[in-house]
Amino acid sequence: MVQASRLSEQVANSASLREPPYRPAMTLTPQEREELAKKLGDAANYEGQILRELVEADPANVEFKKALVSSIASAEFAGIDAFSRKVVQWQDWDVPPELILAMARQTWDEVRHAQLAIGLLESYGGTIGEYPDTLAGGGGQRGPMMKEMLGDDPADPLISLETTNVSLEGGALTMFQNVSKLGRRIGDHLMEHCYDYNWADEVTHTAIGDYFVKALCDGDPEKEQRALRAHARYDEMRNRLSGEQQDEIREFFAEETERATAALA
Amino acid sequence: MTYKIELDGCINCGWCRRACPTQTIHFFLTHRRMHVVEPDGCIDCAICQQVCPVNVVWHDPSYEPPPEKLEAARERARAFARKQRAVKLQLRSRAERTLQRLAEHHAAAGTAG
Repeated sequence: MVQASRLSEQVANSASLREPPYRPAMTLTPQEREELAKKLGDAANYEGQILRELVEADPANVEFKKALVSSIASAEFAGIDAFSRKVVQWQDWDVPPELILAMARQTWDEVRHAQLAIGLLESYGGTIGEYPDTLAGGGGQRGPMMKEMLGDDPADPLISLETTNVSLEGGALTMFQNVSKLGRRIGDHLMEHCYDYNWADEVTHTAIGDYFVKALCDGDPEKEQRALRAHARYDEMRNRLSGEQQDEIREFFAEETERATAALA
Repeated sequence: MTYKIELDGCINCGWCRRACPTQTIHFFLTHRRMHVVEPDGCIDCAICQQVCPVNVVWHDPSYEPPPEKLEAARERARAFARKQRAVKLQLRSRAERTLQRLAEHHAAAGTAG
């Protein structure tokens, strides 16, 4: 137990590394942005929705395909990093041992997704690192920011499962199916099958998350409320980023405020 | 006519909620971790059933929403479809402009070379 605790401390303090090294899209130099613009017409086109549209508009352009696959691959590497950390760190929490094993399984799933992305990129003549990373690992550096945003501890398995497995991976189901369908429409069967495979895993990951959140909340309505609040805040942040509006989330927080005010009165 | 979500099998992925054109599938407002269809806002489009990855959405033909609520829900669905279409057209037009720009670059580079 003491050894596990030391290891989790070590993991918490270790940076996210990859070979080739991460090259976050947010930190590109003007020269790198210019290079990206030469390939994609505009550096701002390095974004999932517009890349899918570009691939559809010109399926013969391999740069669009390489950029699309690279933008998704970053999330797979981040997944390997994040889930493998949970395998170690959650041993210090009061969780069922089956949950630790489920996180180990998810880590391996993300490894296979990364391998699929590498293979798909190679089929287009590309490599990992050629395009910048949309995410740069899953290290603990974002912890304080996430804690403030969620209003709860992102390291807590309950909160982590609800936001990462259920909200984030549940939300990614649409994206994976869209890319798979895009592959089918343009006759790129490798793309179609790779993302259909990833999609099926994401359904399982969401189900794993939901199953264990239910187990951790069993008979404890306060825990269920915490999970729901974290989910709403996480969805709200993602919706804000994608420009969507969610009336239900706004209404939820309005009702929460009303409840809190009534309880204080 | 409405749809019902079998709560035991639901994995709360939220796909039905995000896809519902009338926003009549609630999760947060149930104040529990469960997805529920508000039947008065259902226009029987079946999108929720089609997108559900675990097949737990069932058709329930026994319920008839009041006509005025059904019409209001249909209007929300039309607005949703218009918004989706506008987004799609915007993306398509941006892609076309990009292809045009790249073609011009290549032509200029060819001339210079």
